[in-house]
Amino acid sequence: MAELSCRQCEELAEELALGVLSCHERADALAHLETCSSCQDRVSALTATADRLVELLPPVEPPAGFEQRVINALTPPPSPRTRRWQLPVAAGLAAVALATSGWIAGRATHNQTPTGASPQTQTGNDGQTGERTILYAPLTTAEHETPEHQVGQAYLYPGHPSWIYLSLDAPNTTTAGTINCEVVRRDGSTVSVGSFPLINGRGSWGGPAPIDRDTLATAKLINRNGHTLAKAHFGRPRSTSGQHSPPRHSEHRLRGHS
Amino acid sequence: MSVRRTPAAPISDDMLLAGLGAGDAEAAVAFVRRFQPLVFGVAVAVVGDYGLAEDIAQQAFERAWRHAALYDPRRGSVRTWLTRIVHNLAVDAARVRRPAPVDPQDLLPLIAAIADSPERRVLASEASEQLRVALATLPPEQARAVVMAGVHGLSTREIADVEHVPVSTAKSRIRAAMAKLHAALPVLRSDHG
Repeated sequence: MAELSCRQCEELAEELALGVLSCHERADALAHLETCSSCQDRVSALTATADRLVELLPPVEPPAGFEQRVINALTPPPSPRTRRWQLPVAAGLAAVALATSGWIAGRATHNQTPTGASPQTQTGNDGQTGERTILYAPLTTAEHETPEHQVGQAYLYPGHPSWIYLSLDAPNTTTAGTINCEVVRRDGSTVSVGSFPLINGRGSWGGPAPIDRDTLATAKLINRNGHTLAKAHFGRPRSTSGQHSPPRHSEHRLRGHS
Repeated sequence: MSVRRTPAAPISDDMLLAGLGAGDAEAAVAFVRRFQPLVFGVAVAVVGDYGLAEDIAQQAFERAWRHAALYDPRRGSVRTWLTRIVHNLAVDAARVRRPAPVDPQDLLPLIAAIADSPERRVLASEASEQLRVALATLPPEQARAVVMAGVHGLSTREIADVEHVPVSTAKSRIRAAMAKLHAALPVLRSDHG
């Protein structure tokens, strides 16, 4: 492997960014980038330009049937052990999924995405065809849970599978590095669900999380020193007791449309 | 800590990807519907064959699904990440199947489509529009060179063969084109990477 100078690397930078160097040239250039931040920055910027060029390619609607084939591939059927008894249920869910596949872009876009730290609780009928519930709570600094101390948003879907999405936007924070996400249950037990990098006070992460609506209390973001950076509190589910929780969180009924 | 509220916004691409990665069927449907014209458009542009493009586009979605947890927002948007996935798959497929060199004349409609798409301008970002204008104003031989390399994945030597010019000339065209396109996008230098 030849050691490249910055000048030699510069001559390869465009082709490296475009992904068309030979294996040997690419290896030499990458080796140089390991030790040269200025060349690294240059190639990174050129790569962004190359990426943007590809993104300008005209969108084309795929042939009929493509969407269904892809969705079938992404949502495999249940295991044989459970398939027999689940079949009618699965068919119903699939029908709902197909009928409501516009739910996220539709309802949430227009009138149900929360904006502040004092969201209102919204009601609806779980199980009604074409509707589902995503829980939302503002992420606020650990010390302050007022609207003006909101630093992000937490969304949780307590379904099957359950998942979480956390977004932090606190550009003036001094915290940096990896942030851990934890879910705290009402009995005080804590489950670590994932982590994400915080860059200039901003970062987001989403992924699977074991969430039970009845036991969920709080989602927390913890920095590498173990300090709680922000929390999102989820009220008790509106349930059988008939008593309302304080309006700290909201439940989003996302009615589908095709 | 100062406060910066996040304005009301549609469900983000990141959030959809999180649902997809978690195996949420409805998130998968929404993700596919949101991105299938982009993914299929990239595949078709590179391989030029609808049947093969369908296979590639499906592979791209499956790869995004399997690797959703590896998505790193520091390295670009979900859209950019997904575009990279499908573009890499398409270029690999084209390299294996390519029976004949790309005809430079065949590139003209594609370059025109990239550079001039009025219906998409309504939704295009300012950066995309700047890049589109920059591409449209490149000398034709430079536009061909950068599209052959950046879209079709042709090496400098392959471009030289196709254009019947020395390798050094092909290289100069690529470098000049990239320099002009990059200069048109100053904002990208700070938000990508």
